[in-house]
Amino acid sequence: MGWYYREVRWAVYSVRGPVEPISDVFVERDRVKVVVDLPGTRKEDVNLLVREDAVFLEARANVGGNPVTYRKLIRLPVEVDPEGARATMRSGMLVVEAPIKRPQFRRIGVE
Amino acid sequence: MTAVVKEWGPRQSNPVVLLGIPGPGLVGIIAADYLIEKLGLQESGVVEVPALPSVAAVRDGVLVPPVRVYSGGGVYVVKSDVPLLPDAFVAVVEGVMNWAMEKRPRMAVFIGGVPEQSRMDIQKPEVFVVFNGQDASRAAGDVKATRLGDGLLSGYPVVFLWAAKRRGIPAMALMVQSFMKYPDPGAAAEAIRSMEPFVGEIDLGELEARSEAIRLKLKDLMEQTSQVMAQGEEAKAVPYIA
Repeated sequence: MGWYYREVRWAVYSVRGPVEPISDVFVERDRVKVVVDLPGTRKEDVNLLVREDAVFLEARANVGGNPVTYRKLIRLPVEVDPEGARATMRSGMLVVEAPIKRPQFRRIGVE
Repeated sequence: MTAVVKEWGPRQSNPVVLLGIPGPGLVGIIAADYLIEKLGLQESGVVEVPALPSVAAVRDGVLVPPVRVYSGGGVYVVKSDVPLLPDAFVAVVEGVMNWAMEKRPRMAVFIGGVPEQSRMDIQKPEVFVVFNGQDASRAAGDVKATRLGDGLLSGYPVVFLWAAKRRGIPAMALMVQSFMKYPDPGAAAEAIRSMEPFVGEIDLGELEARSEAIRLKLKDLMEQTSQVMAQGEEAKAVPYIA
Protein backbone atom coordinates (compact mmCIF):
# COMPACT_ATOMS: atom_id res chain seq x y z
CA MET A 1 0.00 0.00 0.00
CA GLY A 2 3.07 2.21 0.00
CA TRP A 3 2.29 4.30 -3.01
CA TYR A 4 -0.71 5.92 -1.37
CA TYR A 5 1.69 7.65 0.90
CA ARG A 6 4.06 8.82 -1.78
CA GLU A 7 3.30 12.44 -1.02
CA VAL A 8 4.38 11.85 2.55
CA ARG A 9 7.41 9.91 1.44
CA TRP A 10 8.35 12.65 -0.94
CA ALA A 11 8.28 15.21 1.84
CA VAL A 12 10.73 13.24 3.94
CA TYR A 13 13.06 11.95 1.26
CA SER A 14 15.73 14.39 2.29
CA VAL A 15 15.90 13.16 5.86
CA ARG A 16 15.21 9.46 5.35
CA GLY A 17 17.56 6.74 4.28
CA PRO A 18 18.73 5.97 0.76
CA VAL A 19 16.22 5.60 -2.04
CA GLU A 20 16.21 2.34 -3.99
CA PRO A 21 16.03 3.44 -7.64
CA ILE A 22 14.02 1.73 -10.39
CA SER A 23 16.21 -0.57 -12.47
CA ASP A 24 15.86 -3.10 -15.22
CA VAL A 25 18.19 -5.85 -16.44
CA PHE A 26 18.36 -6.99 -20.07
CA VAL A 27 20.22 -10.13 -21.11
CA GLU A 28 21.43 -9.98 -24.69
CA ARG A 29 23.35 -12.52 -26.76
CA ASP A 30 26.79 -11.69 -25.38
CA ARG A 31 26.24 -9.02 -22.75
CA VAL A 32 24.07 -7.89 -19.88
CA LYS A 33 22.65 -4.37 -19.78
CA VAL A 34 21.48 -2.76 -16.55
CA VAL A 35 19.50 0.49 -16.74
CA VAL A 36 18.94 2.51 -13.56
CA ASP A 37 16.85 5.67 -13.22
CA LEU A 38 18.80 8.16 -11.09
CA PRO A 39 17.07 11.52 -11.49
CA GLY A 40 19.19 14.49 -10.47
CA THR A 41 22.47 12.58 -10.46
CA ARG A 42 25.72 13.65 -12.15
CA LYS A 43 28.07 10.95 -13.36
CA GLU A 44 30.84 12.05 -10.97
CA ASP A 45 28.51 11.39 -8.03
CA VAL A 46 27.97 7.72 -8.86
CA ASN A 47 29.91 5.04 -7.02
CA LEU A 48 29.55 1.88 -9.08
CA LEU A 49 30.83 -1.60 -8.27
CA VAL A 50 30.47 -4.60 -10.56
CA ARG A 51 31.11 -8.22 -9.68
CA GLU A 52 30.36 -11.43 -11.55
CA ASP A 53 26.80 -11.79 -10.27
CA ALA A 54 25.76 -8.30 -9.19
CA VAL A 55 25.99 -4.56 -9.63
CA PHE A 56 26.08 -2.30 -6.60
CA LEU A 57 25.62 1.42 -6.85
CA GLU A 58 25.45 4.36 -4.58
CA ALA A 59 24.86 7.88 -5.79
CA ARG A 60 24.22 11.35 -4.47
CA ALA A 61 21.78 13.63 -6.20
CA ASN A 62 20.10 16.96 -5.90
CA VAL A 63 16.46 16.83 -6.87
CA GLY A 64 14.57 20.10 -6.77
CA GLY A 65 16.93 21.43 -4.09
CA ASN A 66 16.63 18.31 -1.93
CA PRO A 67 19.64 16.05 -1.39
CA VAL A 68 18.88 12.43 -2.24
CA THR A 69 21.01 9.32 -1.85
CA TYR A 70 20.38 6.30 -4.07
CA ARG A 71 21.60 2.84 -3.17
CA LYS A 72 20.85 -0.52 -4.76
CA LEU A 73 22.26 -4.00 -5.17
CA ILE A 74 21.12 -5.48 -8.47
CA ARG A 75 21.49 -9.23 -8.91
CA LEU A 76 22.39 -10.39 -12.42
CA PRO A 77 20.73 -13.45 -13.95
CA VAL A 78 23.99 -14.62 -15.58
CA GLU A 79 27.64 -14.20 -14.63
CA VAL A 80 29.51 -11.34 -16.28
CA ASP A 81 33.13 -10.34 -16.67
CA PRO A 82 33.55 -7.25 -14.42
CA GLU A 83 36.81 -6.33 -16.21
CA GLY A 84 34.91 -5.71 -19.43
CA ALA A 85 32.12 -3.66 -17.86
CA ARG A 86 31.52 -0.05 -18.84
CA ALA A 87 28.99 2.54 -17.76
CA THR A 88 27.48 5.67 -19.24
CA MET A 89 25.08 8.27 -17.93
CA ARG A 90 22.49 10.22 -19.91
CA SER A 91 19.74 12.46 -18.57
CA GLY A 92 19.99 10.90 -15.15
CA MET A 93 19.84 7.34 -16.44
CA LEU A 94 22.75 5.04 -15.75
CA VAL A 95 23.49 2.27 -18.23
CA VAL A 96 25.92 -0.46 -17.21
CA GLU A 97 26.96 -2.99 -19.82
CA ALA A 98 29.08 -6.05 -19.09
CA PRO A 99 30.08 -8.98 -21.28
CA ILE A 100 28.66 -12.36 -20.31
CA LYS A 101 31.40 -14.53 -18.86
CA ARG A 102 30.72 -17.58 -21.03
CA PRO A 103 28.78 -16.19 -24.00
CA GLN A 104 29.40 -19.09 -26.38
CA PHE A 105 26.43 -21.21 -27.16
CA ARG A 106 27.22 -24.92 -27.47
CA ARG A 107 25.57 -26.79 -30.29
CA ILE A 108 23.66 -29.82 -29.00
CA GLY A 109 22.58 -32.61 -31.30
CA VAL A 110 18.96 -33.69 -31.07
CA GLU A 111 18.60 -37.43 -30.56
CA MET B 1 -19.86 -3.99 -12.34
CA THR B 2 -19.79 -0.41 -13.54
CA ALA B 3 -18.32 2.55 -11.72
CA VAL B 4 -20.46 5.53 -10.79
CA VAL B 5 -19.35 9.14 -11.10
CA LYS B 6 -20.52 11.44 -8.31
CA GLU B 7 -20.05 15.02 -9.38
CA TRP B 8 -20.53 18.25 -7.46
CA GLY B 9 -18.73 20.83 -9.58
CA PRO B 10 -20.19 23.22 -12.15
CA ARG B 11 -21.33 21.58 -15.35
CA GLN B 12 -19.06 22.03 -18.39
CA SER B 13 -20.89 22.17 -21.69
CA ASN B 14 -19.65 20.40 -24.80
CA PRO B 15 -16.47 19.49 -22.92
CA VAL B 16 -13.27 17.61 -23.63
CA VAL B 17 -13.08 14.59 -21.30
CA LEU B 18 -9.59 13.28 -20.66
CA LEU B 19 -8.75 10.02 -18.89
CA GLY B 20 -5.35 9.53 -17.25
CA ILE B 21 -4.51 6.26 -15.54
CA PRO B 22 -1.18 4.75 -14.48
CA GLY B 23 0.39 2.88 -17.39
CA PRO B 24 3.71 2.68 -19.26
CA GLY B 25 5.92 5.60 -18.21
CA LEU B 26 2.98 7.02 -16.20
CA VAL B 27 2.47 9.24 -19.24
CA GLY B 28 -1.28 9.65 -18.71
CA ILE B 29 -0.87 10.54 -15.03
CA ILE B 30 1.91 13.07 -15.56
CA ALA B 31 0.00 14.73 -18.42
CA ALA B 32 -3.25 14.78 -16.42
CA ASP B 33 -1.54 16.25 -13.35
CA TYR B 34 0.12 18.98 -15.38
CA LEU B 35 -3.08 19.90 -17.22
CA ILE B 36 -5.00 20.04 -13.92
CA GLU B 37 -2.39 22.44 -12.57
CA LYS B 38 -1.92 24.60 -15.66
CA LEU B 39 -5.61 24.87 -16.55
CA GLY B 40 -6.50 25.53 -12.91
CA LEU B 41 -9.02 22.69 -12.79
CA GLN B 42 -10.88 22.10 -9.54
CA GLU B 43 -11.71 18.76 -7.99
CA SER B 44 -15.35 18.29 -8.86
CA GLY B 45 -16.23 14.64 -8.41
CA VAL B 46 -15.17 11.10 -7.63
CA VAL B 47 -15.53 7.80 -9.42
CA GLU B 48 -16.77 5.03 -7.18
CA VAL B 49 -15.36 1.77 -8.48
CA PRO B 50 -16.83 -1.47 -7.14
CA ALA B 51 -14.16 -3.60 -8.83
CA LEU B 52 -11.34 -1.74 -7.11
CA PRO B 53 -9.68 -3.60 -4.28
CA SER B 54 -10.00 -2.20 -0.79
CA VAL B 55 -7.77 0.78 -1.38
CA ALA B 56 -8.23 4.51 -1.06
CA ALA B 57 -6.13 7.62 -1.08
CA VAL B 58 -5.76 9.50 2.19
CA ARG B 59 -5.90 13.27 2.44
CA ASP B 60 -5.58 15.05 5.76
CA GLY B 61 -6.48 11.83 7.54
CA VAL B 62 -9.62 11.29 5.47
CA LEU B 63 -10.18 8.53 2.90
CA VAL B 64 -10.89 9.76 -0.63
CA PRO B 65 -11.62 7.58 -3.65
CA PRO B 66 -8.47 7.15 -5.76
CA VAL B 67 -10.22 7.93 -9.05
CA ARG B 68 -11.29 11.56 -9.14
CA VAL B 69 -12.75 14.13 -11.52
CA TYR B 70 -11.35 17.63 -12.07
CA SER B 71 -13.03 20.26 -14.20
CA GLY B 72 -12.98 23.83 -15.47
CA GLY B 73 -12.93 25.82 -18.70
CA GLY B 74 -14.70 23.19 -20.76
CA VAL B 75 -12.36 20.38 -19.73
CA TYR B 76 -12.89 17.36 -17.50
CA VAL B 77 -9.91 15.31 -16.37
CA VAL B 78 -10.57 11.92 -14.80
CA LYS B 79 -7.46 10.67 -13.04
CA SER B 80 -6.65 7.53 -11.09
CA ASP B 81 -4.07 7.59 -8.32
CA VAL B 82 -3.76 3.81 -8.41
CA PRO B 83 -2.98 1.36 -11.18
CA LEU B 84 -6.07 -0.45 -12.44
CA LEU B 85 -6.33 -4.12 -13.30
CA PRO B 86 -8.35 -4.82 -16.46
CA ASP B 87 -11.65 -5.43 -14.61
CA ALA B 88 -11.37 -2.19 -12.69
CA PHE B 89 -10.34 -0.31 -15.82
CA VAL B 90 -13.39 -1.54 -17.74
CA ALA B 91 -15.62 -0.55 -14.81
CA VAL B 92 -14.09 2.94 -14.70
CA VAL B 93 -14.34 3.48 -18.44
CA GLU B 94 -17.97 2.30 -18.60
CA GLY B 95 -18.92 4.48 -15.65
CA VAL B 96 -17.12 7.53 -16.99
CA MET B 97 -18.69 7.13 -20.43
CA ASN B 98 -22.18 6.72 -18.94
CA TRP B 99 -21.63 9.94 -17.03
CA ALA B 100 -20.01 11.78 -19.94
CA MET B 101 -22.66 10.81 -22.50
CA GLU B 102 -25.26 13.33 -21.35
CA LYS B 103 -22.70 16.15 -21.45
CA ARG B 104 -22.29 15.63 -25.19
CA PRO B 105 -18.49 15.86 -25.12
CA ARG B 106 -16.81 17.12 -28.26
CA MET B 107 -13.98 14.66 -27.64
CA ALA B 108 -12.99 11.99 -25.14
CA VAL B 109 -9.23 11.53 -24.92
CA PHE B 110 -7.12 8.70 -23.55
CA ILE B 111 -3.44 9.46 -23.02
CA GLY B 112 -1.01 6.59 -22.66
CA GLY B 113 2.53 5.44 -23.35
CA VAL B 114 3.70 3.01 -25.98
CA PRO B 115 6.79 1.27 -24.59
CA GLU B 116 9.77 1.92 -26.84
CA GLN B 117 12.99 0.03 -26.16
CA SER B 118 15.18 2.70 -27.68
CA ARG B 119 13.40 5.52 -25.81
CA MET B 120 16.68 6.67 -24.27
CA ASP B 121 17.98 7.51 -27.75
CA ILE B 122 14.87 9.44 -28.75
CA GLN B 123 14.97 13.18 -28.09
CA LYS B 124 11.42 13.94 -29.17
CA PRO B 125 9.06 11.00 -28.71
CA GLU B 126 6.48 10.56 -31.42
CA VAL B 127 2.77 10.79 -30.59
CA PHE B 128 0.39 8.43 -32.35
CA VAL B 129 -3.36 8.84 -32.50
CA VAL B 130 -6.26 6.48 -33.12
CA PHE B 131 -9.85 7.69 -33.45
CA ASN B 132 -13.00 5.71 -32.78
CA GLY B 133 -14.66 6.88 -35.99
CA GLN B 134 -14.66 9.35 -38.85
CA ASP B 135 -16.59 11.89 -36.75
CA ALA B 136 -13.86 11.91 -34.16
CA SER B 137 -11.20 12.14 -36.85
CA ARG B 138 -12.89 15.21 -38.34
CA ALA B 139 -13.54 16.78 -34.93
CA ALA B 140 -9.87 16.43 -34.00
CA GLY B 141 -8.89 18.75 -36.84
CA ASP B 142 -5.17 19.35 -36.78
CA VAL B 143 -4.28 17.33 -33.70
CA LYS B 144 -0.49 17.14 -33.63
CA ALA B 145 -0.05 13.40 -33.82
CA THR B 146 0.72 10.72 -36.36
CA ARG B 147 -2.24 8.59 -37.29
CA LEU B 148 -1.51 4.91 -36.75
CA GLY B 149 -1.36 3.05 -40.02
CA ASP B 150 -3.12 -0.20 -40.80
CA GLY B 151 -2.54 -2.72 -38.07
CA LEU B 152 -3.91 -4.31 -34.94
CA LEU B 153 -4.32 -2.40 -31.69
CA SER B 154 -5.05 -3.96 -28.32
CA GLY B 155 -5.16 -3.09 -24.65
CA TYR B 156 -6.64 -0.29 -22.57
CA PRO B 157 -6.95 2.32 -25.36
CA VAL B 158 -9.20 -0.03 -27.31
CA VAL B 159 -11.52 -0.56 -24.33
CA PHE B 160 -11.75 3.21 -24.03
CA LEU B 161 -12.40 3.85 -27.72
CA TRP B 162 -15.10 1.17 -28.02
CA ALA B 163 -16.86 2.29 -24.84
CA ALA B 164 -17.08 5.81 -26.29
CA LYS B 165 -18.12 4.55 -29.72
CA ARG B 166 -21.04 2.56 -28.28
CA ARG B 167 -22.40 5.78 -26.77
CA GLY B 168 -21.81 7.95 -29.82
CA ILE B 169 -19.00 9.91 -28.17
CA PRO B 170 -16.13 10.95 -30.46
CA ALA B 171 -12.90 9.72 -28.91
CA MET B 172 -9.21 9.42 -29.58
CA ALA B 173 -6.30 7.63 -27.95
CA LEU B 174 -3.04 9.54 -27.90
CA MET B 175 -0.15 7.17 -27.45
CA VAL B 176 3.39 8.43 -27.00
CA GLN B 177 6.66 6.57 -27.35
CA SER B 178 7.77 6.17 -23.74
CA PHE B 179 9.74 4.18 -21.24
CA MET B 180 7.93 1.12 -19.95
CA LYS B 181 9.18 1.07 -16.36
CA TYR B 182 10.42 4.60 -15.70
CA PRO B 183 8.27 7.71 -15.23
CA ASP B 184 8.54 9.68 -18.47
CA PRO B 185 7.75 13.42 -18.19
CA GLY B 186 9.29 14.01 -21.63
CA ALA B 187 6.71 11.75 -23.25
CA ALA B 188 3.92 13.40 -21.25
CA ALA B 189 5.06 16.79 -22.54
CA GLU B 190 4.67 15.61 -26.13
CA ALA B 191 1.18 14.28 -25.36
CA ILE B 192 0.16 17.65 -23.92
CA ARG B 193 1.60 19.44 -26.95
CA SER B 194 -0.52 17.31 -29.25
CA MET B 195 -3.61 18.25 -27.19
CA GLU B 196 -3.22 21.96 -28.04
CA PRO B 197 -6.18 22.09 -30.47
CA PHE B 198 -8.38 21.15 -27.50
CA VAL B 199 -6.83 22.81 -24.47
CA GLY B 200 -4.91 25.70 -26.02
CA GLU B 201 -1.19 26.32 -25.80
CA ILE B 202 0.27 25.08 -22.53
CA ASP B 203 3.66 26.28 -21.27
CA LEU B 204 5.70 23.11 -20.86
CA GLY B 205 8.78 24.78 -19.39
CA GLU B 206 7.82 23.95 -15.83
CA LEU B 207 7.22 20.31 -16.67
CA GLU B 208 10.70 20.11 -18.12
CA ALA B 209 12.21 21.95 -15.16
CA ARG B 210 10.51 19.64 -12.66
CA SER B 211 11.17 16.51 -14.65
CA GLU B 212 13.70 15.05 -12.18
CA ALA B 213 11.49 15.74 -9.18
CA ILE B 214 8.52 14.11 -10.96
CA ARG B 215 10.58 11.01 -11.77
CA LEU B 216 11.60 10.62 -8.15
CA LYS B 217 8.18 11.45 -6.75
CA LEU B 218 6.42 8.91 -8.94
CA LYS B 219 8.94 6.12 -8.38
CA ASP B 220 6.72 4.11 -6.05
CA LEU B 221 3.63 4.47 -8.24
CA MET B 222 5.69 3.41 -11.25
CA GLU B 223 6.87 0.26 -9.48
CA GLN B 224 3.34 -0.62 -8.43
CA THR B 225 2.08 0.03 -11.94
CA SER B 226 4.75 -2.24 -13.42
CA GLN B 227 3.58 -5.04 -11.10
CA VAL B 228 -0.06 -4.52 -12.05
CA MET B 229 0.80 -4.39 -15.76
CA ALA B 230 2.64 -7.68 -15.39
CA GLN B 231 -0.50 -9.22 -13.84
CA GLY B 232 -2.93 -7.67 -16.29
CA GLU B 233 -3.71 -8.63 -19.81
CA GLU B 234 -2.16 -5.47 -21.18
CA ALA B 235 1.31 -6.69 -20.37
CA LYS B 236 0.68 -9.92 -22.26
CA ALA B 237 -0.80 -8.32 -25.33
CA VAL B 238 1.20 -6.68 -28.07
CA PRO B 239 -0.07 -3.09 -28.00
CA TYR B 240 0.14 -2.47 -31.72
CA ILE B 241 1.05 -4.59 -34.71
CA ALA B 242 1.56 -2.68 -37.92
